[in-house]
Amino acid sequence: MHKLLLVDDDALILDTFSNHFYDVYQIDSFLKASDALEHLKKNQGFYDLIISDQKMPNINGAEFLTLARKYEPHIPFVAITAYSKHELLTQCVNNAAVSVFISKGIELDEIQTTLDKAVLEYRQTKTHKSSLAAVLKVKQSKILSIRKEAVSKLFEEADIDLWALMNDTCSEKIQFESLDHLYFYTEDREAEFIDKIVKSFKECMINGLPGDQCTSFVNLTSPIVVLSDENAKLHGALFAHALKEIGYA
Amino acid sequence: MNEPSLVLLVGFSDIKRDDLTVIQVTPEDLSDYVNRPEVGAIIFHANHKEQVIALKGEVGRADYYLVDPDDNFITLTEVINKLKVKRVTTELNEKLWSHVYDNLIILRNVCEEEWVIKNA
Repeated sequence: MHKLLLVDDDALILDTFSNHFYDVYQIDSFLKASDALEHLKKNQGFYDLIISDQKMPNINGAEFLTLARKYEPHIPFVAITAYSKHELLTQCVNNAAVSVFISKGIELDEIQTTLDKAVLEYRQTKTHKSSLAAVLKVKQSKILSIRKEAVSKLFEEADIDLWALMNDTCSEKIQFESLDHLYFYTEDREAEFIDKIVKSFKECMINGLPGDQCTSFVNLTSPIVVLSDENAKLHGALFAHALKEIGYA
Repeated sequence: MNEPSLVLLVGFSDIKRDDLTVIQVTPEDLSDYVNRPEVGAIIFHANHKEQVIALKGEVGRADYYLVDPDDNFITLTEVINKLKVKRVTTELNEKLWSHVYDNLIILRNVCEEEWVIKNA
């Protein structure tokens, strides 16, 4: 059942909608646009569609729908028109992205067809976006797995036990989630140490930035590994090579 | 990838832009262009609303803009209910061009993102 928010200063219109559509829509009705806005603010993402009359006291329909867009940027907005000024309707389109106008004289069944069509189109767009997001998630996960494999392979070839190396060199303050977000911190001389790493990456490019501009690795979502300070130069160079091999550098 | 970069003008003449690639088409030629994926915006005069509505793109992702010098109530409600119009104005002014330009960039970014996701 679609969830509708309806605003009209005419109680008869609200009653007509509620009575006629009680079994097809869940309708929350408001006589005052200000009350509807307050309610919408607390219930963002709840409604499938918002309908508003144009000629109302205090806040007119175009103003209400424009303000409502802040809380519901994507769902379809419907404006009820009777003797509305053309200027108000233009505002509805230009400022509130209203996609449907319904006339007060129109048959209720025709209104239902129009509202259903608007919600259906919106849901199709939403589904398309969701499916793209799902595809992206799968592909990102695949990329992460390839990166992990590539880094592990590099260490294997270099005859280094990556996990042992991590255990040997990391401090208590380790933040370890995956190789895509891996930060090692040294307890002391952190600034000096980071500086060393920056120097060791100086010849590289990381995420398009020259190494000497990478002063805060922790903000990058790259497999940045910061090792203990004594071997920083050596391991820094190794990791620089690793990053280059897997396409980061 | 055919990214949306063209602006179709229906019912206007002698319009040139330095910042956008603009093609002026007659309502009769509209069917040759409307579904091309490289069309990112269609600006049409209210006089040709029927032709534009009848041929509204199914393949392309263009945004539609209505120019209605007569400020006509009936035209506006009729067009909006059949076609998702991004903006309506009474003249083809710089403010409208600015919206077209901005929305074209947004549309292009969305299409690029989708292309990258599908081809990653």
